[in-house]
Amino acid sequence: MTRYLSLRVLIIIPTLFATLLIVFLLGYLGPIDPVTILRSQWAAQGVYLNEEEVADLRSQYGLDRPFHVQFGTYMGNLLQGKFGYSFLDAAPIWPRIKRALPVSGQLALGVLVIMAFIGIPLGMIAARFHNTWLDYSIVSGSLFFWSIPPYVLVPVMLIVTVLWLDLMNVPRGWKGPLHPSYFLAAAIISTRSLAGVIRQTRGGILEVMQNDFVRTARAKGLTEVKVMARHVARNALIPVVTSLGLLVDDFMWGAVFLELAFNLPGLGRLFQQGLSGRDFNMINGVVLFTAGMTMALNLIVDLVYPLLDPRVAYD
Amino acid sequence: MSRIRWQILVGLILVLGISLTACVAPAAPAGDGMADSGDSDAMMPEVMLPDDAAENQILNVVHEGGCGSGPFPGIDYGSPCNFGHMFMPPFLVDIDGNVMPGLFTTDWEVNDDFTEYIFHIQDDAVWSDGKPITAQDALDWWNYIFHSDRNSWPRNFVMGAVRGIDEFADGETETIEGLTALDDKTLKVELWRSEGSLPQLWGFREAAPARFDQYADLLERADEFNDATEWRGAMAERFFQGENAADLIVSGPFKPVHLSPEPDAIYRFERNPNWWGEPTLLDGIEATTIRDFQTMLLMFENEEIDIALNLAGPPAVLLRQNQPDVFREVPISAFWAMYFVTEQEPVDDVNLRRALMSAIEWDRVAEIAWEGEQAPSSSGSPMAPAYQCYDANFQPYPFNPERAMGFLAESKYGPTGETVPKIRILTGGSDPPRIRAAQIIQEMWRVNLGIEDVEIKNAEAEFVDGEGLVAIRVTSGGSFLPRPGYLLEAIAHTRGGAYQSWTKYTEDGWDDEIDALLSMDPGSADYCDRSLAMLEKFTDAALVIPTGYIRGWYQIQPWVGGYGQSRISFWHTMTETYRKER
Repeated sequence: MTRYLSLRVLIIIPTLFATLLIVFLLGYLGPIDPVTILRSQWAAQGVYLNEEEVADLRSQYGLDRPFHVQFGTYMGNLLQGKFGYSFLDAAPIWPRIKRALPVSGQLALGVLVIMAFIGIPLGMIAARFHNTWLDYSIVSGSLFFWSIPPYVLVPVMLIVTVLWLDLMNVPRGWKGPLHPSYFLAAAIISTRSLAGVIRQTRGGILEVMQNDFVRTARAKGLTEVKVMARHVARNALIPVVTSLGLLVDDFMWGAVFLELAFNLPGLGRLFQQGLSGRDFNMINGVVLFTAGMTMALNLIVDLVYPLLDPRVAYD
Repeated sequence: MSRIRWQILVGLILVLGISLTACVAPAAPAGDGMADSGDSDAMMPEVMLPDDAAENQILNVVHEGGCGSGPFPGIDYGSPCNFGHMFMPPFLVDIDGNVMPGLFTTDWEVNDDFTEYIFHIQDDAVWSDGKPITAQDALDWWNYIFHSDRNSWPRNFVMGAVRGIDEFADGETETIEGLTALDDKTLKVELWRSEGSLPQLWGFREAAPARFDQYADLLERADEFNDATEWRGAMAERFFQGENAADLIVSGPFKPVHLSPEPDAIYRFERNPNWWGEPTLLDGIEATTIRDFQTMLLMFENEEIDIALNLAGPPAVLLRQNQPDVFREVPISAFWAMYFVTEQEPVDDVNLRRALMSAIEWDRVAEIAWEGEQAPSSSGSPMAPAYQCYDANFQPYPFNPERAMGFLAESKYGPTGETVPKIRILTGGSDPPRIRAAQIIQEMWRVNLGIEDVEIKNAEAEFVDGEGLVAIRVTSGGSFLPRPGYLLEAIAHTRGGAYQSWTKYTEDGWDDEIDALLSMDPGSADYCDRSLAMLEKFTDAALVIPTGYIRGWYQIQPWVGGYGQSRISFWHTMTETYRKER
């Protein structure tokens, strides 16, 4: 177990390096850099930067250097714990990530809770009443929301809750996990993953329910709730747990649009800021962090397997 | 046994959840500070609000994008973080260009050739800590912020005419030679060239002095900073990224309470208890930076905000259809353009350039490329309506296919479009309006001149037949001050300096003519005639294709009174603004 754990942790390092290398390379090869964006922003205000000034800015930011020099410098700084400064507002990157992390963390936790306490029970209900109107409603309803991309769902939900239903004001910043905007945000982000969790739970339970041990459990007089909870759900939830390991991907994908529209100062908003401004240091910082989180979560999920299934062992 | 494993699993999840919650629990939200201003209130002069004023006098503002390098002026242009006018610029300039007192009084003295000014600081001007604002304070700040180490870009237009600025910018001197404090309240400014509009230029927020001593210790740590980026980072960390915004000493009517963009992306300002000017009607300002136009629009429609800055794009078009009266235009002296690289075939021929210009339907370009957001060019003139001396009848290249064909026939690449070599247009980015503008013009040339061989690319390397052949580049142009002299300096003077002569107009004596125009009194009788004559001469060379005049907007709810915004001073009526009862 210790050897397995050590190997998994060690593998994270080259994986993160490769991720960073690819992201850095994409930024380097892209036709637009932060100076182009700055120039465009100032131009929109009627201020024109000449070619000489643009070249000066590029030189100041080190963007005129070869790829290996830029990447080497970035890695050197990173190894010293320096994430660098934003190209667009000169602010250091790390404090921003540090501040964004609690917001994204709590949002992710909300999504996780929705998965666990809404997604899994709905999947179980759909399986228990499969091929009934309840099953159809749950599955089709979840698929309906899954099919709406976040950049459509987010503004539509805002219009419905703010303008039509007057349930709240447009969210402005982080108000904590008890504010209605938090529930709405977590619900919107979880819509995509929720459909997956419902379908996986439903499929898994339907499959497990065909097994002999379920019939045996019923035959020995256990109630349906006990059969489902003790014998069916436990076996059916292994693939669901796997999918939770990929939650970070879905979360980041949804968070980019949601945090932008909700003005939530989380990692998604930082990433969007980085992308729209070609703020390479910001992009690299956020990617590094989310990639690390994804790997860490997958590691945790793998470690949980033996607890769910005694047949899985790492020694 | 299995039950025990389940309990372990549930326990593990619970522990994980609790740990995660504990780890990620955010710091206590920064107080808005509005409730803590009791002590300050005691020092405030009593304010007589208008009869229709609302009880709540906190102005809610949203603006697109975040702050620049921090709350201090001088580094970046137009940082919205300066919204609260924490630092008073030397002058305020209204929307008509009139100069009003700011930190300086308007009784300045200037010599006949506009090369030496004497300015006076307001007698009662004090910093928010009560210390009088002196001429030396202003000098200390400018020498610090505009230093080459900080790579201050606004230095170019704020101090561009001051003697010794080039040496200072190059790091050869530690102070700006042309600035002298004659006494506590008097400042002498010596210029290396005539500048009749220095007070207007010093109406920009970027000219506002801040308190040098709050950053002085950074100079002792200079070795730690490898470049300007690190300097800026250290400065930004002090009051902007840090949580100590309230410690920032300011000179304007409002002081910050909370400036950090995280965790709530809200900037709060309250009254400066030591504000020395007319008392403000507003108790404070709450500004939010929003990056999504749709969200801004929603907030505006839901009446959650009083003023929106820079609402643009398709959502703004919809809002303008529904509520045209909430849109106020801020005249901007700039334009989007494509310019000819005149040493490159085939646009090295002036008649071909004239033909190309005459074949453009200017209204259609602006309408389609910018969907009505930008104003159409006045038939190829780079002078936007915001400029002094603007003449709507000055139309150098009105759409005229017959005239265009005539020019084409006279060019060495004529007589028809089929004989014109390939024209390569570089858009320099993926901005859709700029690409659309190029595409529409390409189509107009095809239809009206029969020129088929036009290629448009976003990056130079994308041209398959090699680099260095680009004939037309997409850009923007304009000037800080809406006066023809500055426009010509920006687009045609070889000096570069604050701007660049990107059209490569290099006729002998032309620079001197522009300099002479710059040193003229803009109010003199022949100023406009001379300006337009020079502009006519410039446009005759057909060097620039202005695809649209840039328009600036702000959106204001009907219950906000006394608000006024100008391009130069941004918000010049800050003491008169108030919220009315809805």
